[in-house]
This record gives sequence, C-alpha cells and structure tokens, in this order.
Amino acid sequence: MTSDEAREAFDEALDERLSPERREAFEQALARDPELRGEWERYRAVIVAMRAQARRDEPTDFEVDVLPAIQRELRRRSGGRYYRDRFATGGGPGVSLLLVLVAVLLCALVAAWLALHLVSVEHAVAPGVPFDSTVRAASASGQDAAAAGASPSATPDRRRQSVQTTPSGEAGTRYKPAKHIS
Amino acid sequence: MTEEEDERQFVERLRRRDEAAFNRFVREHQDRVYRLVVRMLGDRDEALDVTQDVFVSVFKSIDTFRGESRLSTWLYRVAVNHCRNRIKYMDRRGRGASTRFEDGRDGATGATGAGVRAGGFGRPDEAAEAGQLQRIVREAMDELDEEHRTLLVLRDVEDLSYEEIGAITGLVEGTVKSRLHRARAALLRRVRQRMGEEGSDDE
Repeated sequence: MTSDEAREAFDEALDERLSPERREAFEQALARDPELRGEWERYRAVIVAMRAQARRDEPTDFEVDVLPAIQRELRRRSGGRYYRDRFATGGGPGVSLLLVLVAVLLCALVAAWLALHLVSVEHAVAPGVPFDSTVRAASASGQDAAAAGASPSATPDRRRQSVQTTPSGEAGTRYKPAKHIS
Repeated sequence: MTEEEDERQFVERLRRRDEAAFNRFVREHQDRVYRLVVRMLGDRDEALDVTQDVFVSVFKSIDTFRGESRLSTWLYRVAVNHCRNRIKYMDRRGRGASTRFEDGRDGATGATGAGVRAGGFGRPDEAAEAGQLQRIVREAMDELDEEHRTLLVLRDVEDLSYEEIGAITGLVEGTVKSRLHRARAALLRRVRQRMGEEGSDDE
C-alpha cells in the first residue's frame, strides 16, 4: 500500500473496516512514512477527541420527561380533540377526582346518619306512646322489634288510624301525635 | 408474532392516533432523541424544545411513514431534519458556538480525556492536551455546516452504520462515506487552524 492509498484508507481504519491483510499493509505504510504517520495520528486524535467530548457532554438529565409538554401541545393544537382528560394523558385520576369521591362518601355517611337520627327523633316526639310499649306491641304482633322501631306507624292498624285522623288530609303523615289515635 | 408485524400493528395504532400507543412511543424514544438533538445543537434548552417538536411532528405526520424503514429510523430522520432547521435558524440569529453546553464545564480540566492521545500535536502534558483538544474540537464542531455536523454526530457519536445514516439522511451509502470523509477533514482543518497550525492541507 502506497502512502496515498493509506491516506485514502484513513476512514476505513478509523471505522475498523479494514480487512486483516489491508490493515497490515496500512501499518506497514505508516511505518515507512513518518509524515503519513503524523497525519494519521492527528486525524485519529481529532475524531477520538470529538467522541470523548460528546460522551463528556452527554446530558445526564435523561429523566426529563417531555411527554406532558407534548400532550399539552397536542391538546392545544387539536382544539381539545386529543388528550382531553387526565386518563388519556396517562396521568391517572388526579387529586380532583379523589376529592370528589371523598366528598360523595362523606355525603353518603351524613345522609345515613341523618336517617338514623330521624328515627330516634320520631320516637322522641311521640308523646303517650313510649318506645317500650311500641316494641312490646310489635313483639306481641310477631314483628321484629327493629322493624317496629323503624316507624311509630309500623303496624298496619296504627298507620290506618293515623291517616284517618289527619285534619289536613295529608295522607301518610308520620308524625301524627298518638293522642289522636283512639 | 414477528418484530415487523409488531411494529406494523404499532404503527397502525399510531395512525389511529391512539393516545396510549403514542405515550408509549414517546417514553421509549424520548431519551435517545433528546440525546441526539443535544449533540446536534449543543444547547439543552433548545434541544428540549426541538425534542418536543419532533414528537408533535410525528403525531401529526405518522400517515406519511411508508414503512420502508424502521420506525425508529424514521423518527431519527424527523429529528435530524428538525435539528438542521434549528441550526440554520440559530445561525441566522447569530447563535451557535457561544451557547454550546452552558454548564460551565471546561475541557481544559481533561477529567475525562482518558484514552485520548493528541500525539500528533507534540505537547508535553498529555492530559491537559487532551482536555484542550476536546475543547477545541467542540468549538470546531460548532463552526461546521449542519450537514457535516449531522454526519459526524450520526457516525462518530451515535455510532450508526452507514446504512442507517443513509436511511436517515436519504443519501446512498457511497455518498455517506465520501461526505463523512469530507466532514472529518473539515473538522481536522478547523482544529488545526484553531491550534495555530497553518497549511491545513489534510484533505
């Protein structure tokens, strides 16, 4: 291999694409021509330095996630057609939905508590009909004591009597005082 | 199911603008694209911006992907095109070299210069020499035109094959080789000029 041929083979040598025979001829050409060797070393040094520089400057903040910004941009550009909600963006339900769920649960709990509280109030505002007697009456008629306690007019007879004696004609008035019941 | 079939089905999902598929695509490729763009532009803020633009372009123009290459190769091509446009834009605005890697790291420290030998330059302190050479090379890279820089990054930094580079740049393999040689020679010439070595006749 002549010196000119060796110069033309610089890239192949740099990329390690020389066959063993050509590699040997290349080395021999470098050994024969000190000027050629100097050129080769400069050429190789610059490329190696470039590679080393690139490795050194390699960004370490690879955890940077560009996806949210891309999703926002696509949502904006598409007028909201894409990436409309947080599920589509892969962000999960988010805090707002959790807060809504908690609020709903709280409302359900409050409603349940109020319902139970009203049952107690019904018994408290029914003068003349002690709770105990209602329970006994329910027990005597073979009903479950809990069912009897759920409403002062739980027994069919008492409900009928209550409706008949309502002055305003409001059928089903549940808080009718017991004194009107004969 | 073959890998090609997998990719074909995945591309179909992207074409249907399947958001879950696109999310996966971005997560799988964002690091590599970001790294390439940083190396092409040398500016991390710009690189972040361009990386986002690349994926937005992919989302919009996935219908133009004809499946003649790997999806990742096509993505690289989109990224390289964005980088070229950004480099031209930055050059017009007079930016470039002065904004390259703004983290204050000075090549003169030579901390990672191990393995680099600047023997051809005849300096006594090889470690400092290597660091200095890296800094000079970095500056010289900034002065290259965008085509030379692209080829050098794809081949010498990203370590892609000539075939892959051809698929990304649209050049035939022989042209890639000859232009890469010219790019390397141009880089060497600029380095020698910066080092005060006149008579840059290494092409």
